[in-house]
Amino acid sequence: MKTVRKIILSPAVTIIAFVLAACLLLFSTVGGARAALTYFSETYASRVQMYDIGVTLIENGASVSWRNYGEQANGTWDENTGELLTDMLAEGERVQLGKAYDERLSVGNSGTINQYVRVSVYRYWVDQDGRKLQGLSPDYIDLHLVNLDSDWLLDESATTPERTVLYYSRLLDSGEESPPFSDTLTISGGLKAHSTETTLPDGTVKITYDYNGVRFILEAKVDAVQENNAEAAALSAWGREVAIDETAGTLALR
Amino acid sequence: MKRKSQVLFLTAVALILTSFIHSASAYFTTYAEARGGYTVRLEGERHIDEEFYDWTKHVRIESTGTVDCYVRVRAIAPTGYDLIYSGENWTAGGDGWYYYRPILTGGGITDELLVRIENIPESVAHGDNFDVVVVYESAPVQYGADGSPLSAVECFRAMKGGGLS
Repeated sequence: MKTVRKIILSPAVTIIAFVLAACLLLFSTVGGARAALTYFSETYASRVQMYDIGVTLIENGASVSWRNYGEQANGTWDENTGELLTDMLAEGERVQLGKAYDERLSVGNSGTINQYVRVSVYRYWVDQDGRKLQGLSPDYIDLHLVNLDSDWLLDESATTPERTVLYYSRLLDSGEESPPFSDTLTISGGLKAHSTETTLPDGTVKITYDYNGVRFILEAKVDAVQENNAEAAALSAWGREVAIDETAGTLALR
Repeated sequence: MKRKSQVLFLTAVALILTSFIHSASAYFTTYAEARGGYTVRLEGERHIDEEFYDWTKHVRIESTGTVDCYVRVRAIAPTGYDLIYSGENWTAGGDGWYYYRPILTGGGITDELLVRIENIPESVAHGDNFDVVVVYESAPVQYGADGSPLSAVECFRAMKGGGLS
């Protein structure tokens, strides 16, 4: 024991340890330096592949919102938060209750890596000041979901009357657009039943509707995680356990 | 000197171990979101204009609200008196109600509905009580999935819980 202690505390061993540490630290960074040299070489046509993630929310074939990691991979994001339903009504047109308006929502992979995605859809009513009205039913805001089970998986454990959570069941390749998860939006005429009638002294009957003057809101949020180690990534980013079949490129809910 | 050697040795070991620490686990993630909506306008106000002469009630209904609607009318008379309905664009629904076919828009007024009372006894004299009550209802227009309006009967059925959305 005494001999070992003597060896360990000898200046030679300490120096060797420092040299070893310096070498290890140096080699741990040499990869990046080598890549930089290749990139700036004048004699080689180097190709640097950036691994950028990006996702786009698509409405009726048009990109509405997106967030793509910057092409320079310098920590910047190319992002845009748009507005849904802007083309639903013509100028001066009112919402027609019961009419099914086109609302095809899908997801596009606007990054350079493949990814798994999920969508959270929220439906609710707000007053003129934008405050949420908890007493009004989201059921009258009917976003008709399509391609369930085949392409999109409904997460019933996370779904509430206001929120619907869907997972795309396959890997979404770079540049690919998913099949839509909805096709129409209908404001149900059933909300007219929530009314009261008052007869005025002159015989005029005034009908007051609970849903008069309130605004319906449709909100969609797309989340994407990388293909590699996707189960851990989904659990970390979404807090949801999913089962990934890497060979088939499929996602299932656990 | 001995203590100094120990510190140096431990520092060297710490540096060596540092090189084995993996970078913190991080995943590529991103998101995109959007929202939108419209305000629903539902303001209903109806007024009935009613006149009575020649044993006939002359009924018109005016809509002063902003909601497009259908209206329907029925009259109630004492037993033994028949009521004959007539009027352009008014049709019997087979349920005791007479429906005005066109959609009544804000500020619009119906064509006149005539409700004629039959079998008037000859003994009726001026000042005798004789009640014929006219009642009416309105229902906001509802639309089918293709955007075309449902019929008046369908809209009333939906409003009364007939199952249409």
